[in-house]
Amino acid sequence: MLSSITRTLVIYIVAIAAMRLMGKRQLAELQPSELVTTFLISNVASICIDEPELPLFASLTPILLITALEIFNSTLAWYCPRYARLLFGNPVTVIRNGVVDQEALRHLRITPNDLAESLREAQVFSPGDVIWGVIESNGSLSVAKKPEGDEPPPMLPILIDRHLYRDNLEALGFDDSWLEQQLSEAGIASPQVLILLSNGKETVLIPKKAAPKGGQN
Amino acid sequence: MKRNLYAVLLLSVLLAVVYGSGRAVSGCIGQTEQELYVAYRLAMDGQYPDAAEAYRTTAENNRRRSLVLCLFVRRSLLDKINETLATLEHYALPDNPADLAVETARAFAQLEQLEESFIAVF
Repeated sequence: MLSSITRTLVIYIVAIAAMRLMGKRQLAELQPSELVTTFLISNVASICIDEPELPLFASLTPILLITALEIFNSTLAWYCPRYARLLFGNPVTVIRNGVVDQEALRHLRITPNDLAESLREAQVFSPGDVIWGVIESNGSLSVAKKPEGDEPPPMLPILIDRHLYRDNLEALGFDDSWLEQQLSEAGIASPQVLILLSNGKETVLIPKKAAPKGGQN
Repeated sequence: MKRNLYAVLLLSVLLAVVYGSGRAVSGCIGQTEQELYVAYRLAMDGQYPDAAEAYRTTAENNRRRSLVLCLFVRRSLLDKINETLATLEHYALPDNPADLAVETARAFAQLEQLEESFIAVF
């Protein structure tokens, strides 16, 4: 009984320290790899508490190892967008100008009911009200609603960290030459772009800093 | 990035602790094996009272070492070896050398299992 209390205390402290060390990203985003990390840590922790026969060190080691690996993994993903796409996947457009892309839904294995539910959760009650709906890599649905009255249309991502959103480019009626023109006006090459957004009328371009320091999660 | 530094520190500490605990486990098991071997030699030489005393000391020492070992290896394996060691002194009699040989061999095998449970890669 005493060992169970001690183990629970130790695991509780270590699990909280591990989650804290991995940062808020671990709590907020839950990308596939982060979900796996969280599951693994919670399982290892509960096994250690449930089974006093297991050596304590054998339970703490995987928790700390997973924590360190997760930090290295997210750092690598930050520095290498290609790796990040491989790890997290890409967002997939499912609604464009009010039209549902059924092929994309089939590919994602999302039923119309799932889509309707996600839309309702986003306070949207008809796909017709949506300019751009996208399933994010963490599985959530993000929507850009059609503007009402004099509202400006929502900004759509065109280029984010070397990833070109070609369907957005085409949906806004632009092509590669428009993109090249934007980049040449800003005097930077596409790998130097952190975020490029446009709504067809306005464009927002945020270049990367010369020496990226990475995000403090 | 501070978090990467922490992660490197964490990994370094883990490696150091794994290395240190590996040495500690091997050391503890090696000591018990040595003591067990000495006790068995005494019995083979016919010094049964000394052998029984040596077996008892081995069992006590191993129980003490178990307090450290239980941090690194399964408690059931430790219980098994402690139970085996606790019975050995009662076999250290002139009329059952075969039983003593069998039980001592069992204890050596259990010590080996104990070491493998920590060192085995898979």
